[in-house]
Amino acid sequence: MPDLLDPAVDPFERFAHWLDEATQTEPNDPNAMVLATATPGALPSARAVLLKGFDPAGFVFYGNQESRKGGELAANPHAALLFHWKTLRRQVRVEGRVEVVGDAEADAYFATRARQSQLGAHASDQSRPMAERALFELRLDALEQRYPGAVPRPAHWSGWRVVPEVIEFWQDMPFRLHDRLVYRRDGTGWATTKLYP
Amino acid sequence: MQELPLQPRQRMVPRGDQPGDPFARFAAWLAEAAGTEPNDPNAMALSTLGRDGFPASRIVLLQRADARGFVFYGSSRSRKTAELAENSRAALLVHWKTQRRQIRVTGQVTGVARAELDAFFAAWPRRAQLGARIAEQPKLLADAAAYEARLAALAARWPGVVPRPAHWRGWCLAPESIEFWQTLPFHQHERLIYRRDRDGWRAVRSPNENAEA
Repeated sequence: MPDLLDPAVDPFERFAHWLDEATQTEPNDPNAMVLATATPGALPSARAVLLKGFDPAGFVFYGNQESRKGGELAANPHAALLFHWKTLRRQVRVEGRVEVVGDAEADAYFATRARQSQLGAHASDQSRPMAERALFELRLDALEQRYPGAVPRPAHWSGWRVVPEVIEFWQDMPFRLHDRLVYRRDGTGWATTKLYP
Repeated sequence: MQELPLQPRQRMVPRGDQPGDPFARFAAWLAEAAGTEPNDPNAMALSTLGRDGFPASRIVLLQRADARGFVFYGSSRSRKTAELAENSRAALLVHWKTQRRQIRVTGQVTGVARAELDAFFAAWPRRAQLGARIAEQPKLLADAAAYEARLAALAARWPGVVPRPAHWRGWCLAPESIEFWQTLPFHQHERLIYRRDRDGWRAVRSPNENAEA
């Protein structure tokens, strides 16, 4: 039986530990998470994105600021993240305010991406109809010529940080029961609540 | 990290073909995922909005999907019950990592009738029904022996039909849009978006296939 969740453990320490374990057991993409945002018309929308960094300041992911999620986050900067590691029968839920990361942080991350991905970030008009795949390929070719060396980060491409207000850890226990531990920001620390089943 | 190789796959809608029925496509993808996912191929994220307009997500299990909608169950004591009562618009996301596929559904949620909930619960094996009654009690059991003792006590209490736990609820999300997304070799993606209109389902053509959602 898994150990019960101990509220004395720091939430980021526990998250790091769970992500490490998921990296060993998940078939692929252990850092995949569901990002839920809200449209201005109060309709939730969700998609999978990849976590690219986390620390006590928050959970970071990157993408096109002009995509649908970018527009929704600009209008309502609150989001929910959900990690679901089926192989471990665990979930982590995060809720909080969203901010755009600083230029230096985005530049540093962009520089670590594969060249094809860097060029792709320049080439695609996200979430807008594109008539022909061939047009995208043509643009990629032109960008190859334009940036023979380092590819600069496009202005529309950056990261978001979810600054957690709430982090919930959920694990399956034997006999159809669940062990849930909720951390809620409380001043400079965290207040915890145990929920089960 | 272990990386599964991506098998060569067909495009969803080869040039010149019709996009086809979204529910048939959903069923076909679910069947493929059932063969590759480690467990719970029917797991999906349910996203709702709180009264403050802030989103929340949690995993629920899909029980049925057809033209009437996507059905899932849960407890009336849960936060999702309160949020859906306030704002019945919701989003579902099925993410099959092993398939590198996602399906996104948005729409309006209504409650499932008690008769349908009863019928669903009645179709469960007796042991699972008794287990659901145990799970009602917010009390963690020490070990397998304690669990079996509780099962035996409840079995004695209900020698015949086990009644459905009173806090059980079901919801049906009637879809307004259904989006299919898959990874193709060489880091390409393919998206197919269906929207409901007066005459049924219309596929949105020529999306930017590498777009972020």
